[in-house]
Amino acid sequence: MDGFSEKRYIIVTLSLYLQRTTQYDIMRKLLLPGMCLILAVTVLKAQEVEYEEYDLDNGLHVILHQDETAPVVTTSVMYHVGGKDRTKGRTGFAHFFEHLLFEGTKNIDRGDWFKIVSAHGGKNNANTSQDRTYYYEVFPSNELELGLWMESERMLHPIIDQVGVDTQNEVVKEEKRLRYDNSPYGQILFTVAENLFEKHPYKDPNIGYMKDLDAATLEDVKAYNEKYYVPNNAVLVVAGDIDIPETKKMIGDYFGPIPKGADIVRDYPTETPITTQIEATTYDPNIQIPASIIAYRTPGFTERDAYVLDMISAYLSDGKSSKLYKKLVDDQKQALQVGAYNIAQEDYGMYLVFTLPVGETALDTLNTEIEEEIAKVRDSLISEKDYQKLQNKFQTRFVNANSSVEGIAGSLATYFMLYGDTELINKEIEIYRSITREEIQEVANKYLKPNQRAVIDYLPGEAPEQ
Amino acid sequence: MKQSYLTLVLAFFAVGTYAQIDRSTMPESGPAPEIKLKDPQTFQMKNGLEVLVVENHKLPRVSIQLRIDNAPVPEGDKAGVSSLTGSLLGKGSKNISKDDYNEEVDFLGARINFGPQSAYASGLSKYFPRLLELMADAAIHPNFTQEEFEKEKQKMLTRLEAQEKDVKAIAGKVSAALAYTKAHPYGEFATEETVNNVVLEDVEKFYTDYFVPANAYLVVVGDVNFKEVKKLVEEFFAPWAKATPPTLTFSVPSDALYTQINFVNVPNAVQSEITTENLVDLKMKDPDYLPALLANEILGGGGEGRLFLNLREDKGYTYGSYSRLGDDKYAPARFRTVASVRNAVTDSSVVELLKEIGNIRSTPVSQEELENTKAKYIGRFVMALEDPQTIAEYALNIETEDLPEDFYETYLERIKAVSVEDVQKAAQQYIKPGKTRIVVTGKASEVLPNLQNISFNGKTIPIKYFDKQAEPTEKPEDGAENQG
Repeated sequence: MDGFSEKRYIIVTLSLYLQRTTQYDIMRKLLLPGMCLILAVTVLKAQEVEYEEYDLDNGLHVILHQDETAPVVTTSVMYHVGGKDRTKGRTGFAHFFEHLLFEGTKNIDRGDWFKIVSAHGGKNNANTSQDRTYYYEVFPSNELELGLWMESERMLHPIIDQVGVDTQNEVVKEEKRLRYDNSPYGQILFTVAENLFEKHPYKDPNIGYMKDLDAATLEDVKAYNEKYYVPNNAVLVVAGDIDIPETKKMIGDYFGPIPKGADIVRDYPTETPITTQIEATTYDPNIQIPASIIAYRTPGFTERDAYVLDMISAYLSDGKSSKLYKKLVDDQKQALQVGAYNIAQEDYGMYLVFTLPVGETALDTLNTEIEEEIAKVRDSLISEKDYQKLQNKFQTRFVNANSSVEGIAGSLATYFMLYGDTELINKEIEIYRSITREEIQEVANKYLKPNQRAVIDYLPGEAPEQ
Repeated sequence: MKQSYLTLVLAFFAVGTYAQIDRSTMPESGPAPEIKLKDPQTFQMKNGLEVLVVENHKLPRVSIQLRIDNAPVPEGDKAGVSSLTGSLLGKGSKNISKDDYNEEVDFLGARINFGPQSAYASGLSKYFPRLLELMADAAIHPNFTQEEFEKEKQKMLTRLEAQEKDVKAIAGKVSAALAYTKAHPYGEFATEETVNNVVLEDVEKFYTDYFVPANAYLVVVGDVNFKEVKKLVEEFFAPWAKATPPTLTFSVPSDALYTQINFVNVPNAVQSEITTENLVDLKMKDPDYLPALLANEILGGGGEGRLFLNLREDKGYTYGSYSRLGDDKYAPARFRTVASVRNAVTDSSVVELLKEIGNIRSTPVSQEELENTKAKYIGRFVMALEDPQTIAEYALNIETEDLPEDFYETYLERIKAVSVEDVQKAAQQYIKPGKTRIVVTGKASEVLPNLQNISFNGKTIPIKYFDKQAEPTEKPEDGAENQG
């Protein structure tokens, strides 16, 4: 079947900021019975995603979405805990938990999680960002109750013990080697974060420092679980071929008795603005071709400016007629690959332009060429035609965004938990539509000036001895 | 007002009915959902192009896929010519300049990409006619120029250079070359030298020879209307002249004569890439195709496969270990197991992989494993139905793999009918522990000393050394110390 798939030569992908697993653990069984449902809403026009949402007494937010296209159901839980939620010296805990919470529960033996899922025709996985952790299963629709049972087991009483901690410690180290240490350009996001942040936990890798995981005691791990993996810090999404009243009843039965946790306070340090260009060099022994990275610190993803920055990224590097691609890759043949990425995060974003030179092109030359294009966005309005092109692109993205039930489940959870507005699943496109050319220029001036950036030379080889 | 009143009533009703559940036992499955398989609408053009259309009006979008199902093409000392052809396609056409073409595709918010013998376009369905026209135009009237050729060649050379220290890329290239030899289309790979041998005329010839409609399929899926698709396809693809690709022969690869380690030294590696491989003669239409898939799945199909449970969950050697069983109608495919492991446990991982490979043949799988794995296949089949592409893909497989018309209608029944004996027989047929090539790509100084001492069935496994181009080489010097 080779030759069928389109061939694309993307050497570096930056989707790496999510850690992904595959894995489990504890608590006691205690219950506060009873729950009441707060109502919510259903709306819909053509192509809108219909959903219904409410809270259980213990604070668990529930979102239901019905789609009868295929007899399939997704059950998922997003916890508002990610790489940034840690105390000093204990980085990487959220991702470590992503692994640990597949180890077993009071009623699911160690090692049985994956077996149960696949023995019922399902699939499952989890992923962790700096801001949240997402666990999900997809089953044939006749296994809905199983999915709810499993996720409620994970929330109510996972087994967290030394055996699990030791095994997953090794597994995570292998994941780090595989994804970063043995992988060409694997250090990019680490080096960008390290240079853009001084105080905020975003400065440290999502996967954590291995010494921190080694130093973690079983007590540390259990305390982390009790703090963050509680219903009032989670959202449950059930999407697919479901019967709404039946589903609600099952959700109440399985999740209702889970005790509420203490309120969580997130009080992370604020960064002082970058006013002088930061210059840095990073070495990667797994590469042969150097790379240039220009990075800017940008606002959190709920800010309107973050949406504008998405549009600027598309303007610069999405598609063959985009400014940077056309100039550097196509016309001037200086770059093998160029990409502008708006890495959206809750508290601050990272905006970066990444380039791989062709042949003998110097990194400085690339940086000058890139700045020239960014300066144009700061100094003048983009053309009417380019503006319309951007709108068309975002319209297509919007249509594609809700094309699978599994994807819709993830988006519903994200919009509720991180953006604070589930309805964005239908309304986000209106934000993009309302962004003007003037605003694009304004935002470029606000965040993308040379004195606000970090310029990183990413070079082949080992770092020289100091 | 009325609305919220109603909701409240429902809510109270729900509260009242919460049952005391027994969470100590796993919930029972509900009745199995009903499965509906639809057929795509099809027609064939005079030039040979077969067209499959799946109407799906859920979202206002469309995808168009052109696939040319030719036999593999040996590229020899011009390896890279197919890739270059793919890169040069889609750069406008004889009728529209590259810049105008790119601008228009982007303006439509659409995508069009080309491979050496394929094309893919997607976008909003309101732009379908123009999108189809743009794709057909670039496919049928490509504009190959010396300037673009030089540019793509330079980029390809830079990409090859970029891979030089990439452990995974090296492992992938070398393991294929060793399994098939570099004289076979599946084993050859592009190098600086072969890319430099290619000239623009070679690209033009490759295109003329292989980008032809005899074995071509066009698959349109989305918010479209069959009649309109038929009319437009017949219009835009009419200029595509009827032609059949040349038939080429290539060598028949053979397995390693005995189980051996093939070591590739990559000094920057912090993990070793391990691939065990042997050739298999397996086609989708073979009667033991499904039992073979199930055997492979039980061994290393995913997070509940034996390899994953052993090497990751039990030993913590790796982030994941899997097995893959290929099928191919043109040439032998490969059975492989893979793991990326830290340097210190490379030898132990090889031993565990060999153990598991041996076990799946020698010992019948348990009834439970088999049932669980069947359920996984059944679930996967059900889940795939959500995607309208599935319908087209099934129809294409029936056509291109020479399958019985009811292959997918009877798929679930046939999965259910597979027995423990069938699985073991298939494992014995396709997994060859005595003729396994174990390709280890890693850091010699840390890995070799222990690797040299592995024994299998009481004998030390011989090691042969290869460079990154899959050529035999001397044992690396820095791996020699510590021996025995």
